[in-house]
Amino acid sequence: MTAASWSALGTTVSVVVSDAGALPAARRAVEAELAELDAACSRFREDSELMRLNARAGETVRVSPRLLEAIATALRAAALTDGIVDPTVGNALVVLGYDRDFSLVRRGPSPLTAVRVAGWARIRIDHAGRSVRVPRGVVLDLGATAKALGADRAAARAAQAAPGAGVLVNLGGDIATAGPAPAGGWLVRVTDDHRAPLDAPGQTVTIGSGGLATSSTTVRRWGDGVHHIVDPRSGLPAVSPWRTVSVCAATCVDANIASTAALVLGERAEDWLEHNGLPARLVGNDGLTAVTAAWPRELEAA
Amino acid sequence: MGDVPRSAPSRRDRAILRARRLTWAVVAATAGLASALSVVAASAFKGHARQTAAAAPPATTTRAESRVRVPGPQYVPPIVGDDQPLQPPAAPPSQAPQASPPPAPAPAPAPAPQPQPQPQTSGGS
Repeated sequence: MTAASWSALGTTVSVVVSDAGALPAARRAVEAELAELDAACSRFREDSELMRLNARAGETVRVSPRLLEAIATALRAAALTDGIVDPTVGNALVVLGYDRDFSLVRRGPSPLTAVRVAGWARIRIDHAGRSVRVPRGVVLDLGATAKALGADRAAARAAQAAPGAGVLVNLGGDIATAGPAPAGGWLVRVTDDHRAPLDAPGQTVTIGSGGLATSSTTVRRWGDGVHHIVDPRSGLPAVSPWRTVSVCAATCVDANIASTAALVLGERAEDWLEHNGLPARLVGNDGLTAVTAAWPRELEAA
Repeated sequence: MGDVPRSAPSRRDRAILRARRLTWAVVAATAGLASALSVVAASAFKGHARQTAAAAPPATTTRAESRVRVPGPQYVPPIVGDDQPLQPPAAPPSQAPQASPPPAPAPAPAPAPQPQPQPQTSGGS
């Protein structure tokens, strides 16, 4: 088993392969995938396709297959969560101050200003014609799903580039796997912050396939109570009894949709996750944990 | 040869005439009945107004028209792609085995244990 790590998309990237000889090819595949993802979906690059689409709000715009897939994924997330995970929160994030790469966001106290979220149902997407229309005045933000989609695609592409090898891609805490798992499965530590050391509070589990994602309000904060997970119903940062939710699913996208939705759903999260049969670990603001749907009980304190 | 009665052709002609009139009556009655049934049928089914002057819209909505009004086009939601439900994993995660303490030094050299791979961290980003 061997791994490589580097920085991309404003976060850390790791690729782990079960066959050391496959690492160079797997890494090249992941780098290529992430470069394409960034060019299509970044909200912080003036030259990204998403920025050009947002600049032409009100028009029907033909888009690349990559951006079309990312937008379709975001709209699927919205449909499956009744709009709890909504890509039209872009304006709300901008008004809250998250209008540039997070490393450049101004820290400190700032007044909370709510912006009415337009709602995902107003986005028009034509799969056959490969076109999208964003309503005038709406800013699309694909942050809730595009990174997880990138992890899924990167893992699949790396496994294709390294036939026979098992691959795990960790894109800022969004984990996707492809190919055969190593004996005993992939080791994953779930915690509040993906940059945390291995002895930080958390739990170590193994997964055999699929994806695992964690959403948290403890990171990407830039003021008192200001973080990047916006509740579309209020246009403000979600207020939740949970600070961190980790979910395991068949894909990283599905895991990420569920972990984000669970944070916003708050008290209803456990029932919703159970209803969807998704194993999850929820950490309350008081540090106590709850689990759903066959997530293993912890052997250590969180 | 005996004489043929003079009245025989006359009776025959009258019989033919009656039969011809009867035939025409039956044909006329059939045509009239068919026309009447057509009108009844046309009025009975939805989609036909009583008025035949299509160019002149009625001033008021009649009860018959309210019954036959065609509903407007249904609202068609935007296509959002494949809304396949969220998929659980093929198998739930398992608790990772606890790291065991290093073995006591053995008198004879033992093969080096396989290093435990570092776990990947999933956390907020």
